[in-house]
Amino acid sequence: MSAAIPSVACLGVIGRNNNPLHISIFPSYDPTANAFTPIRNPLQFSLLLSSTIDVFDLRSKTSTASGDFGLLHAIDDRLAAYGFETNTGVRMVCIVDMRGRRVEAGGSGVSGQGGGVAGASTASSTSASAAAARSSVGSVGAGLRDSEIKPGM
Amino acid sequence: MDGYPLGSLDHNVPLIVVSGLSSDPPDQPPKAKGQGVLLRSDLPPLEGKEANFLESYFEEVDERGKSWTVVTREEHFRLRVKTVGRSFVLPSRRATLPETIEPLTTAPILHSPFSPLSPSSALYPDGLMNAQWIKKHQEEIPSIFVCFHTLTSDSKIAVQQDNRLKSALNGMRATLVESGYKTRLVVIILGDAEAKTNLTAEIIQDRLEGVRRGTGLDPKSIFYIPPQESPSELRRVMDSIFALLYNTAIEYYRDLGRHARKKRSRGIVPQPTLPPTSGTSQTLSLPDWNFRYDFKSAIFAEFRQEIDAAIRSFEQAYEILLGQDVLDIIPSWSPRWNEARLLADIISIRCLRLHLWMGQTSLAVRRWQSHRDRISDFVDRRGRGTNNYGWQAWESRWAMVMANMIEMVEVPGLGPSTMTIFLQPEKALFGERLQPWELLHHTGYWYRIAARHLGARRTLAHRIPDDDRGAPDASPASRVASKAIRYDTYMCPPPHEEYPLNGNGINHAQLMIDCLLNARGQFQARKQHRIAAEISLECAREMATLGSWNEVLAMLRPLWEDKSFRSEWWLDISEEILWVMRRAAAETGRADIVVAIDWELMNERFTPRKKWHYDLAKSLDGVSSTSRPFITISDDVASSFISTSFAFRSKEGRAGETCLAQLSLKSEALQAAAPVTLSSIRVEFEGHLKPITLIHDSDLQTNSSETPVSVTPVALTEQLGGDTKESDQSEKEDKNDGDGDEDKAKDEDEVEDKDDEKEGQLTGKCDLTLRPGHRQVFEMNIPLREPGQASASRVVLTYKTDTFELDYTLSLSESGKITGWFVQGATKPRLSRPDGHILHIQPRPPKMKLRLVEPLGQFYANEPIPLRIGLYNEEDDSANVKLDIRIVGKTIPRFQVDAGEHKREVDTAEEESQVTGIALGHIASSSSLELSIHLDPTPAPTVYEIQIRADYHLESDAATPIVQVLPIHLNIVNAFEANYDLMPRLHPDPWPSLFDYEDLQDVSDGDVIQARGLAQQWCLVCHYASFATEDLDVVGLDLVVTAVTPGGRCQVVNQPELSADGMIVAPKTMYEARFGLVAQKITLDDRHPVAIDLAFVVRWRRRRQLADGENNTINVTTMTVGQYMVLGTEPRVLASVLHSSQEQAGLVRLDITIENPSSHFLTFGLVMEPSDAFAFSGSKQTTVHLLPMSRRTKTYRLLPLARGVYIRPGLVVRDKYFQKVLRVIPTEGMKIDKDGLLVWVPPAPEAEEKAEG
Repeated sequence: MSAAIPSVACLGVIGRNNNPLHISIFPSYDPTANAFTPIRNPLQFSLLLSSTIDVFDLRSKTSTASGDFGLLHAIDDRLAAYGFETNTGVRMVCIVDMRGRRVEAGGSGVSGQGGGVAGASTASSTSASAAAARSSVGSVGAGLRDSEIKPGM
Repeated sequence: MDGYPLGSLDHNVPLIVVSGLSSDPPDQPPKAKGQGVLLRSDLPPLEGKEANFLESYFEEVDERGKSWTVVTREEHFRLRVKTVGRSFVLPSRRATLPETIEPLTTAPILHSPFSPLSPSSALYPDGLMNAQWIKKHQEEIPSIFVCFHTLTSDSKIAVQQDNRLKSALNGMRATLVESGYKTRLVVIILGDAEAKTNLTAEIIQDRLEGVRRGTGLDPKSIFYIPPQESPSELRRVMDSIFALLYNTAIEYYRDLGRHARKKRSRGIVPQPTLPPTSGTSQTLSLPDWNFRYDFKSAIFAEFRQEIDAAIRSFEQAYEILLGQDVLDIIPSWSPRWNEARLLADIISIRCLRLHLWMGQTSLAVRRWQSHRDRISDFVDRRGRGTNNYGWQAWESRWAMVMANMIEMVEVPGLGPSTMTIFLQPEKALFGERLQPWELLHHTGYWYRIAARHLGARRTLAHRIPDDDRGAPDASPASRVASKAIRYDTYMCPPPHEEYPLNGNGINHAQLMIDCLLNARGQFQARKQHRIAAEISLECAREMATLGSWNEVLAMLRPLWEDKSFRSEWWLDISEEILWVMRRAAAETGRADIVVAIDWELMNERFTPRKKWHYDLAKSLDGVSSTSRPFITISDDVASSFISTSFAFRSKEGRAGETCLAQLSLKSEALQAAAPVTLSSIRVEFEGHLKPITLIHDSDLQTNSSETPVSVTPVALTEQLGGDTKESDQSEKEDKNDGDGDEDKAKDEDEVEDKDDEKEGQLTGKCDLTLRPGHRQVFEMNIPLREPGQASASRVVLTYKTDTFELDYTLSLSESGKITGWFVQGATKPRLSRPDGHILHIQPRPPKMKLRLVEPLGQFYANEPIPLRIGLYNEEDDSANVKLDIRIVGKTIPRFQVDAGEHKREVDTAEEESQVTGIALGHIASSSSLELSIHLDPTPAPTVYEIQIRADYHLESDAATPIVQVLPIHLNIVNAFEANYDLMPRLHPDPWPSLFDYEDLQDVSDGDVIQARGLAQQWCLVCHYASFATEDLDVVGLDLVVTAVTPGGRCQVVNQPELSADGMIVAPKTMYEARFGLVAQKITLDDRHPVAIDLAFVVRWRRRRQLADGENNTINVTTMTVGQYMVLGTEPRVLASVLHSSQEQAGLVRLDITIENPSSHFLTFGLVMEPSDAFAFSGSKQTTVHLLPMSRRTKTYRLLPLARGVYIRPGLVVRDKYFQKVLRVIPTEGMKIDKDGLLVWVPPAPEAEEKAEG
C-alpha cells in the first residue's frame, strides 16, 4: 500500500485576452495501472484551465494587488487549481493533482519521482496500514517542493 | 438522498400529537386489534373557526419541523405536530409471539416489536438496527399528547360537562400509564365565545382547578385559552404554550436517552424471546448491542437538538460498527452486510449534517472523505472491491448526498447569491494544512463529481459479461449465486437490471444529465460561465448518446452563438463543441447549422479529422432536408476559413474618375480540404459607392494557380437603372463570346435579385475557386461617382450547390485594420497601411469655367463698378446651371445682376447681400454665357468679397451635383487725396462805420437779408493728388461750403476754371487749386467767431472709357476739407503789397492794415527797420490808434535794391498796451518765415529783356 502526495498535473499560462498561451501537462501516478499517465486528456485540461478564468474574474473584484490568488478552486477531491496574475493581466494557473505521486508506506522519500518505478505493493491490507498511509498524506500536506514540481517523465 | 429508507435521515424533532380538533375519519374506525394502545374519548371534537385556525397553525408548525436547517437559540421550538381526532393509537410496546410456534412452557419475555429479540421483527435474530425504530419515535410515539377541550359557559350543563371531561381525561391517563409509554398528557381548554361575558376569572379558576384535581394532572399540563380577539393573538398564545411544551418534550427525550445509556451500561446481552431456529441462528453480540444503544442515544440527542452529544454518540456507534467486532465479522454475502453499510451511511450522513449545523464545513468534508475511504477500504478488503459499477454508483450517490445536504441544510454563505465558490475553513481548523477539497465547495462541484462517477459506473456496467446480464430465471441457480457474490448490489440494481441483455436498464445518461443540469445551474448562478459551458458540453455528449439531438442543439447553440472559447482561441474546446453540434444538427436536419459548422471547421487551425471529406459540397450529404435551404450566416456567428481584406490603391480619389482596389480572399482551409468555388462575391460599402458583385466564371482561369498568391484583374461593368454601360477600364478582359447567352442569363438573374435596389451596382466576372492556403486577389477599377467617404463594410460570399445555397457575410469595417497591396509574385502585401478599406472621394472637378470677361482693374470710391462674368461650359455635355452671388463687406451698395432674361436688383445692405438661385438654364457644351453685375458707387474706400457660385449638373448625369466657384476680391480705394491751407487775404471793401447810420440800418430786401457785419477774405489752397493707377481727366474742381455757424455767411468768390475737356491728372503728382472765400457776419453786433465747413469736390472721369465710346460718366469725389474758424475778435495785421507799374522803376507799395474787430480802443506801435535790401519811404516809427470796429492802413513805399528776390522788411507791430508783438500776416505775393515777413520783388523787365536779348 502506498500513499499519495500532490504533484503538478498541468501548468497553463493564459493571456490577458483570456486566450491560452501555453499548456503543459504532466503525468500522474495511476495506482490501478501502476503507471504514470495524465489524469485527464488535453481537452479536459483545456477546459479546466479555461474554467479558472471565471474564478479569476470573480475574485479580481475583491482581490488584493499582489496578484497571488492562491487556491482558485478545487475541481474535485483530487484536482485543485492555483493561480497567479501578473500586473499585465497574464494569468498563470497550476493544476495540482493531490494524489499524483506516491510514497511507499514506510518511506519518507519521494519515490514516485523516477517515473515508472514499479512495485505495486500489495503486502499489507489491514486497516491499520491504511490509517498510517492517511497520516502520511497529512504530514506531506498540500505544499509542493521544488523537486516535486519537475515533470516525472 | 433517495434510496435511503424513509425516515432514516429525517431531522429528528419532538413529536406532539394534538387531538380533539378534527373528527376521526368515519370510515376508518380506530384500530382495536389489540396490537396497539388506543387512546380515545367520547367528547365531541372542537369546531368553529378557532379549531380551523389551530389546525392550519399546527400544519405550519409541522412543516417547519420537517426542515433540515439548524435549530438556533432564537427559535423557541421546532416540533412535529400530528393532528388526530378524539382517538389515537399508540404502537404496541410488546411484540406478540408468532402464532405458528407451540406454546412455551415458561412465560416468554416479550420485547419491543422493533427489537431483534422479537421473532416478529425484521431484525430478528441478528439485525442491528433499522429505520423502523427511528420512524416509531418520530412519527408514532409522541412526547406529548395534547387534548383540546372547551369550557362551557352554560352554567346549567357546566358541572355535567366538567365531569365528563374529568372522566375522559382520567380514562386516557390510565391507558397511557398502562401502556408503559412516558408520553405526557396535556390538556388545553378553550373558553367558548360567551366565556368572557358569563364567567368571571374566579369561576374559571375554580372549574379548572376542579378538573385538574379530578384528573391528577400537574399544573403545568393544563392550559386555558380564553377566547381571543384575532387569530394573530391566538397564534401568540399558542406559540408561548408550545415554547413551554417544547421543554417538556425535550425532557421526555432526555428520559429516553438516559434509559438507553442505562441499558448500555448494564453490559449484558439480552436473550431473544425465542432462540433463533433458522439461518445461522446467530444472535447479536455485546458490541452489536452497544452499537444499538449508542445509536439510540445519538438519535435521542438529536431529538433534543444536542448536537455535541449526538455527534459523540454517533461517532461511537460508527467506530463500533466499522470496528473489528461488527462489520468485519458479517459475511459479505449476507444481507446484513449491506444493512450494516446502510447504517454506516446513515450515521455518516447524520454526522455530516451535524457538522454543517455547527458550521464545521471543512470537518464535514473531511468526514465525507474519511467515510468514503473507510468504506472503500472495507469493500476492497471484505466485499467485492471498488472496481465495479456498484461502487461507482455508491460514490456518485455519496457525492450527491453531500450536494443535497448542503442545499437542505442551507449552509450559510454558500448560497448562489453570495457568489462564493468555496467556504473558508472554520476557526477550529485554522492553521492546519487543509487539502483544497476540504474547503467546502458549492453544490455544483458536488453534482459534477456525482456525474463523473455515474460515467464511471456506466463504463464499468458496460463491461459486465453477457453471461451475467441475462435475467436470473433464465440461468442456472448456481450462476445466480455466483453473480450475487461477484457483484456489489448495495443500493443499486443487480447486473441484469443495470445493463440487461434485452431491454433497457439503468439510463445512465439521463442520470448524468440530471446531475449535470443541477451542477450547471449552480455554476451559472455564480457566473462561472466557462465551467457551465463545459458542463453543457458534457451534457450534450450524454444527450447525444441518448439520441436526443434537439436537446443537444438547445444545449450547445448558446455556446456556439456567443462564440465562447472560439473568440478566446481555446481551439480544442471549440472544436469539440463544433463536432458535437454538427452531428446533432445533421441528425435534426438543421442544414444551416451544419453548413455553418462545416464552413468553420475547414479552418486549418483545427486539427484535421481523419476520413472526413472537408468538402462543402458534401456538407448536406445524409442530412435530410425538405427543400433546398438558403443559408445566411455571418462572421459573428461562425468564423470563417476564408479571410478577406479590401484595400483601395490610394487614400483619395475623385468623383468621375476611377480608383484601383483589391479584394483579397485567403483560404485558410485545411490542406486536405477540397477547393471551394464561390458562385459570387458581393462587396458592400458604406458611403457613396455602389456594391460590387463578382460572379464566378470558370472559363476565366487564373493565370498562376500554383503560386500562393495570385492577382487577377477584373473588369467591372456598371449597371445604372437597368442600362448597362461599360466603364472605362485600363485592363480589359477578353470576353468570351461563346458563353454570352449564359452570361446574360446570369446578369438577368442578378438584376432580378437586386431589383429592389435602385442604385445599381458593379459587376465583374472571374474565377472564384479557392484552393486551401491560396490567396486570390481581385484587382478592380472602381468608377467613383459621388464625393464623400466610402469604406468597404462587408463582403458576402455566396456558395451554391445542388443541395443548398449559402451566403456568408464578413465584416470589413474593423477600424485600424491594416491592409496592403498585393502584386503578382509576392506573397506579402506592400504598402501596408491602416484603414486601407476607406477611400475619400473628392468632389468631381468642375469643368465649367467661370471668369471675369475683363481683367479686374482698380476701382475707386464714388464710381459705379461693373463686373462682367463669363460662364464657359467645357464639360462634355450641356449643363443646367444655377447661379448664386454673394457679396460680403461692410456696407454693400445696391447692385443689379443682369443675365439675359433674368434681372435681379438688391438693395443696400449691411455686411452681406446675396442673390441666389438665378436659373441660367442650359448651357450647351463648349458654349458660353455672360452676365453682368453692376454695383452702385460706394462713398468711401472699402473691401468687398464677391463669391459667384455656379451649381450645375450635366444633362447626362443629373444625380451628380457639381459646383464651380469664382471668388472676386474688390479693394476700392479713393481716387484722390488732398491737403488744404486757408490763408487770409485783405478784403478790399471798407469796413462799415459805426457812425454810418444808414449802412447799419437793417433794410430787408424781401427775403434776403443784407449782410452788414464785418467781412474777411480768405484763400483756400488745395493740394491734391491722384491715387489712381492711371491718368484721369479732372473736369471740374469745386469748393462747397457745407456748413456755416448761424450769424455768419460764407461764399466762394472765385475758383479755378478748367477747360471743357478737363485736365489730365497724372497719378502721384501734386496739383494745386486756389479758391477765394469771403466770410461775413450778418450784423456788426455779433462778436462770435464763425466756423465754416468746407468740402473739396473733384469731378473726374476715366480716360479709357472715352475710347470705348460709352457714356463717360463723370464721377464726383467729395473730400471734406475740415472746419475753419474765421471772423475772430482778435486784432490782426495784414500786409499787402502792390507793385508799381513799369514806369515807376519797380517801386513797391507795402500796406500794413491793422484791423480791430474788438470793442476796445487799441494803440499799436509800428517800427520799420532800415534794410540793405531796399530803401523805403514812410514813418520809421509811428503809433496807430484804432477805434473799436475799425481798421487803418499804413503805407510804405519800398524801393528794392535787388530784383527777383525776396526782401525782408523789418516791420514790427506792437500792441502798446499789452506790449505784445503782433504777427504780420502776409497776403498775396508774400510769405512769412520764422524771422518775419518776406516780400517778393519781381525781376526787372529790362533785365528780362536783356536776358532775352
